[in-house]
Amino acid sequence: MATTPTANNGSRPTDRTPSRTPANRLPATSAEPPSSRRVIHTPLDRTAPRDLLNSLRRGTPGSARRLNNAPTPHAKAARRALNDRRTAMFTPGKKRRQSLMGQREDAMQLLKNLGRALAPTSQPISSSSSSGSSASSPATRRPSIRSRMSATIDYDDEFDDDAPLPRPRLSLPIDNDDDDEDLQRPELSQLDPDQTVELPRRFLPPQRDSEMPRMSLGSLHGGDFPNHDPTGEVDMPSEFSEGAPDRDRTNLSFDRGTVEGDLTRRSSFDLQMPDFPDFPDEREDDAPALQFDSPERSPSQARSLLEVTAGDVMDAGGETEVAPAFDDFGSDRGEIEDFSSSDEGGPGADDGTDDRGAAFDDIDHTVGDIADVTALSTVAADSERTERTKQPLKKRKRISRHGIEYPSLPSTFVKRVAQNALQNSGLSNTRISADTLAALEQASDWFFEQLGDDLEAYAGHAKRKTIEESDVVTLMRRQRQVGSNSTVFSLAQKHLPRELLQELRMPPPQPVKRRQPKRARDEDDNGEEAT
Amino acid sequence: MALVGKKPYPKATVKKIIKAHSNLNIKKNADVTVYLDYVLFMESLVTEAAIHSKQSGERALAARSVKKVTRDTLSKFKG
Repeated sequence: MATTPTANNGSRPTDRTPSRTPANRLPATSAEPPSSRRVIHTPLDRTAPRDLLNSLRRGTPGSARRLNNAPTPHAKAARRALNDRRTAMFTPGKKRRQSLMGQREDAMQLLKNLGRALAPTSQPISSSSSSGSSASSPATRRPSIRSRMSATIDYDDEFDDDAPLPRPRLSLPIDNDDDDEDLQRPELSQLDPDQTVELPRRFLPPQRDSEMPRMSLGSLHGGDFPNHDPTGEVDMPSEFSEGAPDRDRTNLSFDRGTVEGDLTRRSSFDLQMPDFPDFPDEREDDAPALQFDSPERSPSQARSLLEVTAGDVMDAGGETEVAPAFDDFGSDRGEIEDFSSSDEGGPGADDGTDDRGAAFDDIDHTVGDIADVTALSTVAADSERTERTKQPLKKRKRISRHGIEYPSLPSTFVKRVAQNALQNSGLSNTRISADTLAALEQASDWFFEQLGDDLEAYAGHAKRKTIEESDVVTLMRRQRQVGSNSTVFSLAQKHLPRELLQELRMPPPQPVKRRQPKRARDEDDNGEEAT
Repeated sequence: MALVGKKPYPKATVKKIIKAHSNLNIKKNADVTVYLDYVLFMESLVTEAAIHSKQSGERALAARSVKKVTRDTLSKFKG
């Protein structure tokens, strides 16, 4: 094109029309500055014609570039920091911070200054505890400030220059604390005087879970050993005159627990008493009694015998084969009971330790005299058997609060019920391990104990001698199992098999009628927990 | 629940246990309700124990959790 003939435009494409934006398209090196150049001027733009001048004048202060390129506050600060660093590098170290000295004066600095001031005149104390060797040290002979400061108040400052005083003791005496009343060693309850640390101790009752009563942390109370309560002894003869068949009580010491009963049972055939030091204190003395382990127990024997007793227990009639053997023995028992009661004079559990021991001895001897040989042999066999079956299976028979022996629930039954419940619980693994089953059995035992107590209370409140279904229903309502949104029948429908359901419906409608208004009255409590 | 033909629950044992604990006689059909209550108790106990053992990361029912929840469940079933 004719309008762009210059050589520096030669690189440009020639098809550009000059009418279009000629000034904008000008190359940066063109001589004539476009009007827009001043506006978009940047300091580093050296292509501008002013920039050519600036490049010549660069570094000189007061130039036009300086005006444009004034240092920002950040640049100023950076430059100042740089200068400070440079001056700090070149100044000697000690005087560097002296301007700040006044502000930093604190206790440590004061002490440092003091030490600096005292350093040429004083000498360090060689050792603080060895008073004998340093008595002639120059520190005490020459009165220095430091020794004067560290001396106790007894030594007056004015006597410092005089005779060499005994050096003050700077540490607490360790060995001879005889005259110090404040620093007495604490009296340990431990017997071992050599031991300096008293470790925590704990009483671990050695019984197992099944022997522990409910609601107690590993301790026993009299409720499990029923004859500790004074009324139990009074009740006892009448119960024996009843001659309940399921009660194979060879327990001749009538105010003992089960396991203690075992001990006496075993010992009665040796005709010598093991010494129970003072058993009426239950909490301490039952535990060692429970700890007692019968050594002559072979597992195979125990198992075979166990089956026999388990069969007995499961038997619906509850007639054990041992029971007849005891019936002829039971005639003697009343006599023995009279004997013991007359001997002891009173049912107080706590007072007559020695009397009771004597009573036991007498009882045992009386047994030995009265009972004939066959009865004794059956008793012996049975006592051995109950001992052996009790231990491996957590005591087949126990004695309730009222002195009635009762079987424990069969574990298969507990397992079945728990398994049914577990299937609804949502755990993936519905197996029940052995110790879980043991815990469940324990819980069931406690539950039935509690249930029996409660039912007794309800029936007694209604002045009845029989536990009726209404008592159980009352109990369930108190337990919030039967409430506004569930009846006994709905629960039974849910949880009981059909034949039991029929049995539940079968009874005469009188208790059912009695139950309905009660439940209607009970509409307000709706703490229903049955699922 | 129980298999057909099998004993649903040891009736005599339950009766004996309650009789021993209460020192009273039991009417004829009261033990069915007692059994029902026991089943409910077991259900509650197992449910609580399952929750507890699930929280402690067990997959099966742990004896420890059963022991832990036994006290609470028993007090819940206190009449």
